[in-house]
Amino acid sequence: MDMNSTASLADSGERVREVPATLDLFLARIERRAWRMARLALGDPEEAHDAVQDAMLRLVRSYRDKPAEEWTPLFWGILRRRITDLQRRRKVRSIMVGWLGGGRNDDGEEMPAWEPADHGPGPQRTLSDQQAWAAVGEAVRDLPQRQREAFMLRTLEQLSVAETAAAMGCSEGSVKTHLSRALGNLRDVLEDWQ
Amino acid sequence: MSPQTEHDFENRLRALYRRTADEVDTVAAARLRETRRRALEAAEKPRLFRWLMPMGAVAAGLLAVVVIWPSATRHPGPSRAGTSVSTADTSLPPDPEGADPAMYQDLDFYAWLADQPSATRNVHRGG
Repeated sequence: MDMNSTASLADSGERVREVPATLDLFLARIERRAWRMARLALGDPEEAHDAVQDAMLRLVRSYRDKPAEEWTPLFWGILRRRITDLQRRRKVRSIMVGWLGGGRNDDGEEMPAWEPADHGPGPQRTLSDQQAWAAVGEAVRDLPQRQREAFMLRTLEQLSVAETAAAMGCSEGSVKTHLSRALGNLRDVLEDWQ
Repeated sequence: MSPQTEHDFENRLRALYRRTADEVDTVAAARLRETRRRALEAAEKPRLFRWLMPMGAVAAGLLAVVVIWPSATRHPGPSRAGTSVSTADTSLPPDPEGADPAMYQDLDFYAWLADQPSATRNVHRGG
C-alpha cells in the first residue's frame, strides 16, 4: 500500500476557526468528524453514534448559552469523556463475560476479547483512503489513551494547546508531552508515511 | 526527522482524517442529521417547561379565586355564623330547631341533676 499517494498536504499552521452563528450550524459542521473520531476510538459505529448523540445533547442542554467560541473545546471535552465511559463499560462487560465463562469456547480454549468490528467505509470512499485510514486507525487505537486523545484533539481537530488541555482536563504541559509521545509512536508504526 | 517533515506528517494525517470524515456514507450522515435535530428539539422542551410551570401555577391560582370568591361572598357559611354567635353573645337562647330533640325528653333528669351540687362535691371529696 502506497500511503504517500493517498494523502495530500493539508493546510499548514494553526487553523483559523470560524465562529458559527448558531449551535445547529456548529453541530452540522462537526458531527461527521465527531462520529469518525468516536468510531476511531471505539471501533463500533453504533457506539460511536451513541457517543456523538450524548455529546450533542449535553452541549445543547448545558452549554448552549455559552459564547460560541467555547463550544468547540466543550464539545470535544464532552465527547472525550463519553468515549472513555463507553470504553470502561466495555471493559467491565468483557470482565463479566470472562467471569461467567463466556471467554472460552466448548474446548476450553480462550476466545478473542470482544471487539466490535470496524465495518469499513461507505461505498463512495476511495480504496486508497480506505486502506490508509484503516492503517492509521489501527495505529491510533494502539496508542495509550491520553496520547490518543492528545493526538486526536490537537493534531486532527487542531484545537489549541489550551483548548486541548481544557478538553482533556489536564495541564498544557501534559498535552505537549502526550502529543510528542503519540507522534513519536505513530511515526514508528506508520513508516511508509515518512 | 526535520520539523518540516514532521509538520508534513501531521498535515497528511489530518487531511486523510478530514477526507474520510467528509466521505461518511449517506445512511450515517442522515442519522447524524436526525440526531442533531432531536438534540436541538430536546433542549427546547425544558425551556418551555421553565415558562409553562409558573404560568400554569398562576393560572390555576386565578381560576381558584374566580371559582371560590363569588360563592364565599353570596352564601356565608353556617359554621362561621354559628361560631360568631356562640362566642360573641352567649346569653341568647339556644336555637330550638337546631337542638337535639332527645334533650327535651330528658329535661326532668337534667333539672334533678342540677339540684345535686352537694352530692357532686361529696363524691369529689370522697374520691
